[in-house]
Amino acid sequence: MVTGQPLFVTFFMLGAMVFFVGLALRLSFYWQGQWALWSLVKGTFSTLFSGKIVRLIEIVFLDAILQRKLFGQDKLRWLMKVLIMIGYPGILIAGHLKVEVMPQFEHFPHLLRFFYAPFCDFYYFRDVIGPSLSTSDALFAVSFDLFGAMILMGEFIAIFRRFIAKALPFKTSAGDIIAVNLLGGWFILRFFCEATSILTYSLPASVAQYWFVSFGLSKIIAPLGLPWSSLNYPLWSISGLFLATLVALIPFNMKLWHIVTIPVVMFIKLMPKEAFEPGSRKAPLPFSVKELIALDSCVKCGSCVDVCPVYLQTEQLETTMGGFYTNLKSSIRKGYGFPALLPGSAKEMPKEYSDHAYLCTLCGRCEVVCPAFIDTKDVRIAARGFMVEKGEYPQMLGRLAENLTKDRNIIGEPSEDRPLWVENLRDPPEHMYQKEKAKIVYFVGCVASYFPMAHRIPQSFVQILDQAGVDFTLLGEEEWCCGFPLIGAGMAGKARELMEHNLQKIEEVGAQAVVFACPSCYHTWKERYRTNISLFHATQFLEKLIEEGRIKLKKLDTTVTYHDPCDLGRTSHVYEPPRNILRSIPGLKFVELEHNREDCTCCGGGGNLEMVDPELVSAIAKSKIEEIQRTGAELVVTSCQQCVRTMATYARRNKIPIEVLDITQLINRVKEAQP
Amino acid sequence: MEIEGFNMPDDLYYEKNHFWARVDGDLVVMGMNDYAQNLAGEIVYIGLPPEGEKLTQGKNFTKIESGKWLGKVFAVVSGELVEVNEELEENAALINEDPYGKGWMFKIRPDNMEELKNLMKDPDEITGWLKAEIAEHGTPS
Repeated sequence: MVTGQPLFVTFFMLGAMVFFVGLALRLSFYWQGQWALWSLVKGTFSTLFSGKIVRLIEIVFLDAILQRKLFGQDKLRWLMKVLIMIGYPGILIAGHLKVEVMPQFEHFPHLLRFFYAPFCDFYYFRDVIGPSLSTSDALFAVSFDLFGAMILMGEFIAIFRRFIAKALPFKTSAGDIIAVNLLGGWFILRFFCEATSILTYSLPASVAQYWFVSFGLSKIIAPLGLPWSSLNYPLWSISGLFLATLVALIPFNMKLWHIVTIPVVMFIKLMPKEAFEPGSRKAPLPFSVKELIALDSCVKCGSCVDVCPVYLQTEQLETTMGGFYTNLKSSIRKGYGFPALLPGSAKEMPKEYSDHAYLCTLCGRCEVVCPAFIDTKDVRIAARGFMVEKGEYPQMLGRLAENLTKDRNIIGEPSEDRPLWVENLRDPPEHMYQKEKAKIVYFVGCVASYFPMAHRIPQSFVQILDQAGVDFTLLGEEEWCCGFPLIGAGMAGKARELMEHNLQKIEEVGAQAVVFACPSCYHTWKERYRTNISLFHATQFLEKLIEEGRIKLKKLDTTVTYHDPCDLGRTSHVYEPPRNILRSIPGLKFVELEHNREDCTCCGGGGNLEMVDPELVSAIAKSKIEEIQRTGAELVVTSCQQCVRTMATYARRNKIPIEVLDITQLINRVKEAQP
Repeated sequence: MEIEGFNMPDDLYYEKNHFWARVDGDLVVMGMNDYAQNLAGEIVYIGLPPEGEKLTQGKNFTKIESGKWLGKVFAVVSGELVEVNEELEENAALINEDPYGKGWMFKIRPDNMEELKNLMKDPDEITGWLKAEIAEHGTPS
């Protein structure tokens, strides 16, 4: 099929062949990740034939084409992306539609027509008859030049931002330069080809005007008086060579490869987690196929940089998602990708990459702004798993794992001390909130159980539950860590025993629901525990108790702001219940933080960062407290013991007159006494 | 007296978890010693149990937290907790600033004053014990 075709088509075909070789190499790399065929197939079909397809359409239109995430971030960048995202699919669709209706190609097999599509106008200009165009041909002509012009404008903005405005935080690589030039260059050449065709066949203005860019260009170059008919075919052939190079390089250039991976990431983001569970085969890489593809979708666009709480303090690009992914990808690829095919390839991981993996609060704010739809938190956790496999992780996390294996809590204290906070209640009931059977289990979590600064949270919550007449119990010594700190450290395998134990204990109690004041425990149960028992965060539970009138609230004349804990907000999407609770307190004046809901800034307390770099946590907390102070609130309320500890510690140490309370503490304070 | 730079007043009783005791009429006041508060770093929080709680000598009854450390508080004598230092609720760093004065923690009505004999009072014993502790745990960085 390749021979006997015009040069531009031959070039394009050869480029496509190289593309497929590269594609095979890429797939062979993903093959080394963790996957199970049946789970993947099941996950794909269950997504395709479900309501999720509506969500996919929404993502394609609103996120991929209209780039709604970028609209609020940077208008120029948004314009650039929208122009490109409309231009490329538009011109591809228009070209392939036109080649299907042109009589010149009606005897061609469909596959061959595919290769002629980018060059169909070469034939159209050559064979056009008559002084005017049909409406459909005029529409095709206008759309080609309109989409082409959009792409060129988009590429010019990209070049302006990258090379003139220097708006990108990351360094431009040779691969980036090649990609930008090929993408823009192909359309410049195409316009020149069309212009020379207009001049070669002396098309009348009544016809040529529909190719409005090329027609204008033909007017500009006409005075040069070059032998246009001799130049026409060579120029179209060069454009074919350009396109072939572009297509051939797609699998070998990270910037170009993301054109392929992003649509895949958009789809797999909707697939159930189980679809990517590792199968029984021993995979060389501890990353799921989903995570490997996600890594490849990052093109260091820089969206993650200005929202990264660690970067805002350290100004170390290597710790941001974009920077970290770049280093991680290059290291993995050296050991497992194309370069690994060469003898003597290294599988070692530079020490600093391991440090960077752990300099992250897992706040997930980068995930919200990432235009490539990457589950940044999951990938960071998977990268930590990779570091653990390599034996490169902070010593403190080794100690944490030891504590959890031996004592079943994060700090290595005896299990019998877990319910110590109950003893410190004024007049605790005889059963100390531990019953053999109950409808509800209150799962307290390690931090609230062992850290005195957080004790007021469970102490408040049990008093509220008690007063509302809820039939609940604690698991006491039998409550084990939920497993979240191990999962976050990249040691998820060690968490299984903890999860199984907790589930068994809940079953023994005969509970119908489990309630959590700790957002990390809550989301770990929701995401990782396989149970049909209802799970509630304390805010959801309290909202219900207030709505049902089981708790009555007194007046409180205070200005209050609310901090969304990362694991409750961004991770679990619980935004309204805490706000509804606050609004139900008479007299309370509620003010939002400048960054709220999914845009809420991290307090610094998450992601095991406290164990790795407490000073960094304090610096992040400082920034948070300053944001709180700007609201003029006297009290900041949150729904997480770790956020309370982190913010209160900073405020106390620096004698900042702001009160930090968990929402359970506030409700316990304003609830009306029992009649 | 001063032991390797740490102030250990002569008139106090000391127990081996680094808490001190002082007799104040029919009550016993307790707090944390200078070496321990230095080693802990800036204390940010101490759990203050409700007054009336029954305590047992040598038994952990609440916890104390600095940014880098989480510790237990042990009762110096058995008895009833009659007063907590409410100022520590807002400013636990008083334990660092004035461990034997404004940074006192709890007042206990002892069941038996004789229990104080289980604590260290002899300067030589205290010196030997603290030096051994310093050798084991080091000094604050």
